[in-house]
Parts: sequence; structure tokens; C-alpha cells
Amino acid sequence: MRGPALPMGGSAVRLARAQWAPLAALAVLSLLSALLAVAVPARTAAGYDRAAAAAIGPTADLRVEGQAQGGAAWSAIPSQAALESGTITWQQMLPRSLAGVTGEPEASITTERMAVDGRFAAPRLLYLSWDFGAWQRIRLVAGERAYNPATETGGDIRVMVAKEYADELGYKVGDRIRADGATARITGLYVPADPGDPFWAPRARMLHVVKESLGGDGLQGDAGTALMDPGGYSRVARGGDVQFLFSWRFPIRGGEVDAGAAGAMAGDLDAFRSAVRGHGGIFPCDVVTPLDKRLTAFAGRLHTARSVLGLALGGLVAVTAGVLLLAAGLLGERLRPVLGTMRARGASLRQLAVPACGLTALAVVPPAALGYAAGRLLDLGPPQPAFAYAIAALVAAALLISAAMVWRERGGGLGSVADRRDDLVTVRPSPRRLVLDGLLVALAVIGVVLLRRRGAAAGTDPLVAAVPVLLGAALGVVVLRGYPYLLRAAGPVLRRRSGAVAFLGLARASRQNLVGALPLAVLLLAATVAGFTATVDTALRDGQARASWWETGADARVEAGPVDDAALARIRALPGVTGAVPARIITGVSAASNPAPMTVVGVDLDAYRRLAPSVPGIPSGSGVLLSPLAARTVGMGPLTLSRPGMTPINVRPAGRIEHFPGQGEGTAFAVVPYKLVAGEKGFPSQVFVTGDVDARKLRAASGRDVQLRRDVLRNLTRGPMVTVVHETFRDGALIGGVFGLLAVLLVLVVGARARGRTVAQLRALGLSRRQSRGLALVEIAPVLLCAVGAGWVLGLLLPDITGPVVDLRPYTGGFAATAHTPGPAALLGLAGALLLAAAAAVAVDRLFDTRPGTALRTGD
Amino acid sequence: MANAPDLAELERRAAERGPVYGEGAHIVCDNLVRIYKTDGIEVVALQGLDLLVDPGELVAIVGASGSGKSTLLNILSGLDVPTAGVARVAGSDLLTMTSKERLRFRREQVGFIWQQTSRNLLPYLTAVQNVELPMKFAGRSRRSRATRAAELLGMLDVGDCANRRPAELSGGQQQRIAIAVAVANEPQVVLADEPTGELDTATAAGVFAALRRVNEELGTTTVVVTHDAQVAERVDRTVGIRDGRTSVEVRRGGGTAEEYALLDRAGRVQLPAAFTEALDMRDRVRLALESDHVGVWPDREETP
Repeated sequence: MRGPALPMGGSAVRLARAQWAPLAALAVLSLLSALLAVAVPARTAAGYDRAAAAAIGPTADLRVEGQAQGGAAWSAIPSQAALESGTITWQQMLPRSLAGVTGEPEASITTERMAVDGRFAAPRLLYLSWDFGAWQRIRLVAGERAYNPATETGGDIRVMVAKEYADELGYKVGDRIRADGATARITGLYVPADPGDPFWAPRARMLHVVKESLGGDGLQGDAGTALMDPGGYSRVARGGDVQFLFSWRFPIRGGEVDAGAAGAMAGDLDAFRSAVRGHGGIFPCDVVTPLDKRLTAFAGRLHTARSVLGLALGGLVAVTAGVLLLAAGLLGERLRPVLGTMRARGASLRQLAVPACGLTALAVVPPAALGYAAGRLLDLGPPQPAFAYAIAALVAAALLISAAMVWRERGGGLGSVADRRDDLVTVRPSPRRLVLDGLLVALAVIGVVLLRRRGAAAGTDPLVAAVPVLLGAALGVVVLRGYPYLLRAAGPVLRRRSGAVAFLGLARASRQNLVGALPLAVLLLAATVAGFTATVDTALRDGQARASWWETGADARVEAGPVDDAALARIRALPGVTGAVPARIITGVSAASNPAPMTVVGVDLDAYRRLAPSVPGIPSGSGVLLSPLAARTVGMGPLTLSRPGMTPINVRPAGRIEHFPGQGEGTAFAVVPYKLVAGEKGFPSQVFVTGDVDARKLRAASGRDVQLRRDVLRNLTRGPMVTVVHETFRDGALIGGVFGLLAVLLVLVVGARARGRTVAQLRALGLSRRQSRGLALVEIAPVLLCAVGAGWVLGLLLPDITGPVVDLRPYTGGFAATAHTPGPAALLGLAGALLLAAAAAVAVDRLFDTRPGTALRTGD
Repeated sequence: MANAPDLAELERRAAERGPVYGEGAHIVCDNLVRIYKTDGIEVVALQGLDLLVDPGELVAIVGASGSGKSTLLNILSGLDVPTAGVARVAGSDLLTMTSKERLRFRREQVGFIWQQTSRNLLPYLTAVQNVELPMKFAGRSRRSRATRAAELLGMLDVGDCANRRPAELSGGQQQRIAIAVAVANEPQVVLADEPTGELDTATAAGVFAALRRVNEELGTTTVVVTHDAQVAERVDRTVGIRDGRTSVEVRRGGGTAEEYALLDRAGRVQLPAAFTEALDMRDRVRLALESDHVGVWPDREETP
């Protein structure tokens, strides 16, 4: 039986030793690729999960709430058992995705807000609550627990209040509080058993005084909740027509929500809401939760993150695969003479496959497995099985390349006798290559068209990841086709120059064959990834900066309350303040023709524009401007605006304004010149302040709430998902750059020996050492500059090319962010990468510098 | 149709015409044509070449650069396929061979020696391992491989180099081992492309002597393509190739050498350039059949 080709002792080992450099390169690249293929997606997925948890928040909840009055309430929920039965009903109706992340349900019954009789510095508001959970989590510090016997039908309702609340409002045990006809007597004061218990987070009113707004005029009252027992509830319910709020609260364990669960929850929430509304057991109930908004916002951010990161990671996978396959191809090229000799000596293809594929497998499979294991051990996030398949595909592709190298020898030299130079500049492309190139370009165009057609709906599928790769490959093909013409055009110019280095370098660059030009494709893709991440990163930062201006309206905005000239002067006098413009805010204003309320914003627009020119969307001119809703409501004709306490003003709208800082989106407001409302001193104001201001000092000077733009910006930029995007971009650019450099290095090192011989010949003809270094640079420059230039430009244009896919609005407060200029850091990085590549070329030249005598002694 | 000859009759008539061209020869090239196409330009490397080599013969093929001698050798070694004509080596038709037959042909019927020593031997194997390699491919037993390798290395005076790698050997030693590799599987034909091209005169003589010894002792038919006049003078027959055709042949025997022009099967003869130039023969010549020879005259008007 005929055995494999090289079982003779250590001959396979000797072959491996002879080819150690490409084998080691292949092994290192396999290890790195596998490690990155496991670690980067896992890390990103962990980031998504963290972002999901952060978006949900630690105190989020899902409440089923229903209202009933007096006797109806009592007949629906007469006892604790009935309340708990409701708990079980809702719990059973919870869809799986929600049931999995909700904690112990908390049921409570709370009266409507009752105004406390008496005269106080601020109005006092009281709620009476029967909350079983709270009852269990308090420690009595004075008096006794409130107990209302079930048989009792009259007299005071015994309640307990928090000690802090009692201290703040001056209550003590035994005091009576009369509110809306009911009288509550304080029998005990309590403190929370564990103040840090998240249970208390939504029940602040049970622990201390909470300021609550009374109507729209900014008037606030001191609100608190007193705890009563079931007997108390029974008394209140049967004794009058007090409205009760029944609440079954399901706290959400935010930490257990991952990105996948968040997606499922959004859909299930709607289903749960419909089920609750349709449930006919007791009084009508509804689902109240902040989850909807948070999940929608998160879904938007996740979608964008997945789209942009999909684009970037797709490119990165291609770069990694390209470098790995390049290394496999170069190993194949190095093995070619050996395989050729073996074939000529009678080796069958199977006998050739053993050393060729065996060596490649040895260099690829164990390192890839090691990289995979290391990636899993690092445990940077939930494993992404798709990328494990990608590793397997890469390994298979590397083996396929070596198999192709073996297959190439099937003729045993047939065809190879007509060896001819396939220099880039001289080779005439075959029709087959033309067709393949055309096909690739067509595929890229089709991919882009499909992606754009699908618009914002596209997000996480393989097409998104494939498009930049296809575009990069298509551009690579075009550059490869144009590159020879460029070299050919540069040839005569350089020939005329006196120096030999440029001419020689270009001649050698032209002599690269297609395999030598493959790094061009890899470099191009790496530059595309880097360019894309750089531009999107910059766009994101710019968009967020604009959003912060849009939101705040200046470096700081002092909120609410009447501000007089003295207060304004104090603000202007603060250190660091460079300007301040006041705006009068009058709510509840209506036009004579239409009673719908709107807000009048009195501001000197000219002064404001000078103060904060960066605020987007402020139209020029200084007339009266109406928001779209206001314009729809009252029309654009002359109108009189008035409200009680305000002198009516006659205005003629001059135009529209989409947004003014401090006014909510889609609200009705009118921006009028400040002088028209300057006299209305009883209404709240806003002051827009510029300069490097200290919030504390500003607050001290004005005595009002202060919103700083840098705080808004920080909130935008430090969102967990934004961090994921930034980090992945940074890692992506870095990995792309490193792999690009590795590709350059690989080609340099693999070709170094042959180059060393040529340079030795040139040195024998009089080329100096310094000229040899220059030659190294000139040789590599055309490929490097063409690839990096074209790739970088493609990367910068990629957001435009892919159109609606790169939608950064979820991160920028709704701003469409575009930037075609990368930030200075990215440009510096690019320059650094190019310099490193040049340094690598020089270093390899120095490393493989052979004396002419040594290089030329044999064989020539 | 009653007079139409049957198959037996046709065979009889064919037999009457005499022996088939090249019958009994070990290498047969009949009207061999090889055309390359490079960048759309056709290059005719062989234009109807005829060549016969008998079993056990040692033949040198000489010719100027580009005359087609390397193309001929590539075809004979099965590394290239002719465009038209007949090429048979040791009974194998090189035009119709399947890939399996080609593999067997390379393993068992021919051995090659190339000019570049690096192409002949695998650099990471020792001399003896290199010699064993073709036998290994052919599936011979370990013992027979070892015996044969030792025997060949001894015969070629490189037995002491058995465990050295090519980089540790001189050019002459490398080529001797290459000869051993080429004949390892006892092929009937050995083809050598400039085997002494990279060697100095003395070493080249040694390598050629080794080749000759293989030819004599093992009885292999050997074709050597060479530029080396010394080599060409030491063989029994030297065939010259010009413009893709065999043009002259020198036969040596008994201390003398006689040069012949070759007459192909179509009756074509190439006149040596020296002859045509001396008589200023161009375009046309006049021929005359005499009783024992053919006369050739330049096409010139008789001047009074």
C-alpha cells in the first residue's frame, strides 16, 4: 500500500522547520483571529446587555392600576385575600419575557390626594395607603401600630406616618390630620427598617415630604402618605366617596434584562396591556409603566448600534479573513517549488495534500482552537455562536487555499512551462477576470441598492455586514485595475529624473504580481473600516454636541421663577459668565380666536443668537415666531394673546420656529420680542447664560434650578450604549489598523529574501545603503497610498452610501448627524499607521540586508 | 461494391507498406507541433519535428536559444502537451494519456534531471531521502528503497554524501544525486535538461560520466539537452534543432564523426546556414536528381 508522502522520520518536521516563518505567521494570525472573533462580538453583546439593563433602570416597574370609588371599591376588593387574588391573576397573565424579569409583586391601595385642612406655609397634601409590603418593612420608633377594628364605623382613622415626615411638618403621635372630611389620627411614627431597600424608591412619600405641583402655575404642596391597616381601608371605603387607586406593582429586575429580552419585552408589553384592559373581573384596570418609552428608546439605540457596528464588524471580519488567507496563500506560494518537485517525481495529489494541507492544518487548527478557548476563558460577554462558525469557516478557507495549491499541481507542471511574468503593469486581464470583476462591482451596487431600499428597517442582518465588504472588494478591484495605469503614467516622469531610487522603486512596485497586490485589497478594507468608524464617531460627537445646545440653549439655562433685573445683574457678575439673556415664559396664554393654551416665550432673539450661535434651528429675524402646533391652532394672521394677569399683546406672526430650548417637542408656543412682555414680572423666566459657569454659584446667584449644557452632553455621551459604540469603534479601528499593518509586514517579510537578493545586485551596481532604504519606501508607497487613500475615502462616504442604515438620531436627541470629516485623532491615527508601515518597510530592509558578496555567491 | 476491400485486406496492404514509422524506437516524435499563445500572439516553438531514439541510446540535443529544445524535452517528460503530431515515450502516447497514466508515466517510465540543482532536490531532505522519495511515491518497501538508494549513491560515487542535505553538497554532488533520484524507480528513459549548465568544466565532465555510466549500466535511454560542446561530443548521436525542427545529426563511432542533414517524412531537408550563406542561396533553389545523389543549386541566371 502506498503511504503518505512524508512519513520518513522527521522529514515533515524538517519541512515545517524550513517554512517556519510563514507557518508561524499563519499560526499567530489564526490565534489572533479566533480570539478576536470570540472576544469582540461577546464584548459588544455584553455591552448591549449592560445598555439594556441601564436603559430599563434599577427602579423600573410594571404596575397594573385601577381606580374605584367608595362602596364600589369595597365590593370589588373587600379584603387582603381579594387584593392578593388580583396579584395572582395579573401574575398569571404576565407574558414569559416579563414574568422572567419581574420581582415579588407588591399590591397596595391608596386614596386620592386629599388636601389637609389648615393654614400652612405651603399647602399640605395627604394620601392614605394600605400597603402590606410597607407595613412589613418599617420599624416603629414612637407610639403604636395603627389598628382600626373592623367593627368600628365612626371616629378617627388610625394611621402611622414616617418620623422624618412628622418632624418636617411638626406632627407627633396623637395628632389629628383633617383632610377632605376625613380625620386621621397618628398612632405611631416609623422609620424604614432598611432605608436602602429599593422597595422605598417609588414610595418616597411614605418616608418624607415630597413637593407636588398643584396646577400649572408652579404652585407646590407638601405631600405625604400615611399608612393604615385593612380596617382603616374598610372604614374609608365604606364611609364615603373617596377615590382609591389600586396598584399591583411588579418591580423589574433591571439587571436581569439583556438586549434580547428587551426586544421581546416590548412586544409582550402590548399584549399584556391588551389582556389587562380586556379582563373583566373587577373594575377597569390598565398597565402603567415607564418601560414602553425606555424600551422604545433602547430599541432605537440598539438598532442603530447593531447597524453601524454590523457595518464596521463586517469589514473587520473581512480584513481578518483577508490577512489570514493572505498568509495561507503565501505559505502555499512558498511550498510551491517543493510540491512541484514532488509532483514531478511521481507524487499523487493525495500524496501532495498530506504535507501541504497537513502543514496548513497544523498552523491553523490548533491555534484557532486555542484562540477560541482563550476567547471563551476571557469571558467578556455572552458567547456568539455565529462567530464560532465564522472561525470554522476561516479555518476551512485556509485549508481550501492549500488544497487549491495542491490542485494547481495536478498537471505536474503542465502549463507552467509557459511561465511568463504576470506583472501588474504588463499583464493583460483575462476575460474571466473581467467578468468576475464586473460581477463583484454589480453585486456591490445591488447590495447598496437593496440596503437603501429597505431603509431604516435594515439593521442586523448579514446584508448590512456584507455591503461594506462588497463595496471594499469592488473598490479594490477597481483600484487594482486603475493602479497599473497610475504606475505606468508615473514611470516616464520618474525615468526623466536624475535619481535612480524613485525609478527603481516604481519599477519594482510594478513588478508585483496579483498575489503581491492582494494586500492592497486587505489594506483597503482596513482603511475603509478605520475611515468609517472615524467619520461615524465624529458625526456622533458632533450630533451630541448639537443636541446639547438644542436642549439647553446656552452653556447654562436658569429655570423658572420671576427673575428681576437685580438677579440678572448678579448672574452677569459671576466669574466665568460671559453673557446672559433672559426669556419670559408665560404659560396658559390663548388667542382671542382660539382658547387652546399656548406658551409665550419673550426673548430678544438677536441678543440670544449672539449669545449662543451654536444653537441650531433658531431662525433669523426678530419678529413673532410660532411653533408648528401654535401656527396650526391660531393661524398666521394677526392675533391677540392674553391670559389672566397678563396685559394682552397684539402680534403679527412673522414666521415659524420648530424648536426653542426649554419648550417641549410638538408643543404650542410663540416666541415674541422680549420687550413685549418685559413688564410681566409675575411670570417665570429663563436665563440663558454663556461662559464657563459653576452651577453652584449660578444657583446661589439666582436661587433657581440650573441646567448645564455640559451635564446634558455628559448624559448623552456617557449613555451605556454610546459607550459600547465608541468602544467597539475604537477597538474596530485599532484591530483593522493592526491587521492592515500585519498584512504589510507579512508581505514584506515573505518577500524579503528575494528582495534582499535584488537589492544586493543593485548594491553591487553602486546603490548605497541609504538609497536601499529609500527604495524600500518607494516600493511600498504606491500600494500603501492607493489602498489606504481609496479605503479611507470609501469609509468616509459609507454612511452616505448606506443612507438610512446609519441613523444616529437615537443617540443625538433626534438630530440627523452627518460628518464627512474625521476627527483629528483619527487623522493622527491614520498618519501613524502609514508611518508605522513605512518604518516596517525600512526595518525589514535593514533586517534582511545582505552583503552583495553573500547574496550573489551561488546560483547567479 | 463487391470489390471493396475488407478489414483483413486493408491490414495486409498496410503491412506490405513496410514497418510503421518509429517501430522499435523508444522515443518517437512524428511531425510534432507546439504553439504557445502569449498575450494573443502565437509562438510556434516546434514546427513539425521528427525524432527517433532507440532503446539504450544516449542522445544529445543541441540548438540555439529559442530553437525549441527545452520545449521538446518538456513534451517528452509529460510536463507539456504538444499541439499536434505524435509523441511516444517508452510506448506511452503523450497526447492521449489520462492524468492517472501521466502519473504512472512520471513515476515509473521517465526520470528527469533539471539544470537548476535546487529544482532537482528537496532542500530539507538528505541525499538518501531525496533518492528514496520517488520510490516512496511509487509505494516500494522500505527495505528495497534503502537498498536501491545505497546502491545508486554508491554507483554514482556519492555514497559518502548520503546523509547530507543539498545545501551541504557541491553542485556536482547535487547533480549526481539528482541522477540517482531520476533513475530511482528504474525508468526506461532519462531526460536531462542542461544537467551541467551550472557546473565548471571538470565537474561537468564528472556529472556527464555519471550519466553515461547510468546509461551503460542500467540500459536507460537518455536524452540530454545541452549547450555544452564537450557533452555533445561525448555522445554517440547529437541531434541539432533549428527553428523548431531537427536539422542536423552527428553520428560518432570508431573515432570519427560524420554530420548528416536530416530528411523528414515529408522529404524536407534543412541546409546548414553556412552552406546557404556561402552560395548566397535565398528563396528558391534548383534541384536535380542524379543517379546517386540530389544536386542543389542557387536560383541564379547563368551569366555568359
